[in-house]
Amino acid sequence: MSRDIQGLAEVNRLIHEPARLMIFAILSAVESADFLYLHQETGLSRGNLSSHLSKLEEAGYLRIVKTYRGKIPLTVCQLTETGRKAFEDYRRQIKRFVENTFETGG
Amino acid sequence: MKDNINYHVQKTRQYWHIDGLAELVAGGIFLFLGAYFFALSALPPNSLLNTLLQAGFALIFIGSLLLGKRLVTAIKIRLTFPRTGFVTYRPPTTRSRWISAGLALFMAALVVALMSTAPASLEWMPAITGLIVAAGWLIFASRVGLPRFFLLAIASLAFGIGLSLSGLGDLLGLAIYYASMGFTLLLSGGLTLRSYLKQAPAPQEESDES
Repeated sequence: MSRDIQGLAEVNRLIHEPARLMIFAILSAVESADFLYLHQETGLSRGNLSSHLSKLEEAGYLRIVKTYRGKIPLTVCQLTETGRKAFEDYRRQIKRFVENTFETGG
Repeated sequence: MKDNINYHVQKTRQYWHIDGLAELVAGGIFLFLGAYFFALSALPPNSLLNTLLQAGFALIFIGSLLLGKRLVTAIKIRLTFPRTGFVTYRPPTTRSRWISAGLALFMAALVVALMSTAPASLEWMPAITGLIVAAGWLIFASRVGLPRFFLLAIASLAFGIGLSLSGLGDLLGLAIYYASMGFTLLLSGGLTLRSYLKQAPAPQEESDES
């Protein structure tokens, strides 16, 4: 069991952070979402959300496109293929950890 | 942690239905179909118009669905996205598209075939239609996880079976079924939209943030 628990140390910390995990969860379900939607759903402040999105973009997990809807500027976020794969790997790791640790009565 | 991820994934899937617009448009389509079947029941069976309407059912049905989706998106761009944000969903896979198209064509062909070849079966058309539509709502409800769609499935079943058992089968029964479901959808969508507009204030005139 200790090996399973120690396996958590190898988890992707960029994804594992709670605010970024919410962002990944939301974006994994869609093709793209704009900043307003992410702001509403995560409950993060605008500055905090911007900071997390920038980190994910730097890591290559996220693509941010600034565009317009009519005259209104719009910031659209989309997971890259790298980001989707990283999130799938993360989910598998967590699932394995939960199954091996908690569901065996550990 | 798994539950937290699933919660956000599910909530994002539900977002398309947060404003009830899809139900309002679906309600309009059902009312249109109710008018279609009423016209069929009122027109002389061997008239040219009756024949043309029967032949065009598949086109009318599929055309309504395609136009309906475009209408919902157009209204969302003006009403929903400025309030609570813009989301695009992953396009359905090719396999999924073929399945949906196949099911729609099958239903349309079944209705036309039954109407043309087995007049007695028309008595059960409202019940059969109610069952098919209820099954669709159930599958949809279990995927999206919104309780009101389960209620719509129950309503569909109740209307369909009730009409057939009460002897109001045939085309008039179908017209009443579609009209009843249409009004039910308008009610469901209207209540949802009202609730959404109360919770989501109109957007302020400010520039995008990041």
